[in-house]
Amino acid sequence: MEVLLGALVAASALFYLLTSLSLFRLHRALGEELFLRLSISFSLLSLGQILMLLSLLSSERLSFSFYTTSTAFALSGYFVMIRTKQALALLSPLVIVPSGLDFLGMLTSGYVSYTSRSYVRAAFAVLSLSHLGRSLGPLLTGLGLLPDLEVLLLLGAEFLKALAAFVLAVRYRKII
Amino acid sequence: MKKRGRLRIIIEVLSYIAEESPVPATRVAQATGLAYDRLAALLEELNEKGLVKLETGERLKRVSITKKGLETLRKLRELRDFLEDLGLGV
Repeated sequence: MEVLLGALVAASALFYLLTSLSLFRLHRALGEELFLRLSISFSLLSLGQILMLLSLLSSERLSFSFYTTSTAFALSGYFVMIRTKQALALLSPLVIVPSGLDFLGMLTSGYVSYTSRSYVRAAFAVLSLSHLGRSLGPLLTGLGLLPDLEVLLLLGAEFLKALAAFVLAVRYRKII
Repeated sequence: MKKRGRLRIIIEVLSYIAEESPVPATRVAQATGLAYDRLAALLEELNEKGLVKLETGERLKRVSITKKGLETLRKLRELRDFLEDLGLGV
C-alpha cells in the first residue's frame, strides 16, 4: 500500500512540476501574468507532494514535520489559484479557524473545484475531500473516536490526493 | 455575445497567421473580427516578443509566424482545455 502511495505521490509531484514549467515557459513567451501565477501555484502543489513523499520515507519525527508542511504548500498553491479578491476576503477570516491547515485546504481546494469544470472540478473536489480526511483523522483520535482508523483515514486521504493529480495528468497529458 | 478573452484572441490570431502566413494584416483583422487598430497593437506586441514577424511600411502590411510563435501556439492549444476547465475562460 505504501509503495503504491509513494509512486502515486511521486507521479503527482512530477505532473505538477512539469505543468508549472509549461506555464512558466508560456509566461516567458507571452508575458501573461496569469501563466506566472498558475506556474507558482502548481510549483507549490508539487513542493507539497514532494514533502509528502519525504514524509513517507523519513523517520517518525521528521515524517510528522514533512507531513504537516506539505499541507502548507498545497494550501499556498490553492490560494494563489483563487482569482477573485472577494473569494480571498471570504476565506481569510477562516485562517483563524483552529481546525488547522487541512480545514483551510479543504475550503480553498473546494472553492477552486466550484469555479472549475469537468475533470479539474472532479479532481479538486477529491483534493478537498482528502484534506477533510486529513483534518478529521487527528480530530477523531483526539476525541477518542475511531483511534484505530486514523492511520487508514490518513493513508486513504493521501491516496485520494495523489490519485486526483494522477487523473489530471492522464486527462491533460498533452500539456506536459 | 460573450466577450473573447485576450488569450483566446491571441490563439485565434496566431492560428490564422500560421495557416495563411505570410498574410496581410487587414485579412487577419477580417478573419478574426478584430478592429484593425486593436489588431495592429497586438501584432506589434507579438512582434516584440518574437512570435510573429511584421513587414512594416507606413502602415502594417504583411505578417508571418515565427518558429517561436508556432511553438507557443502549439503549447497554448494544448493548454486550452485545461485552462478552460480550470474556469479561466480562455
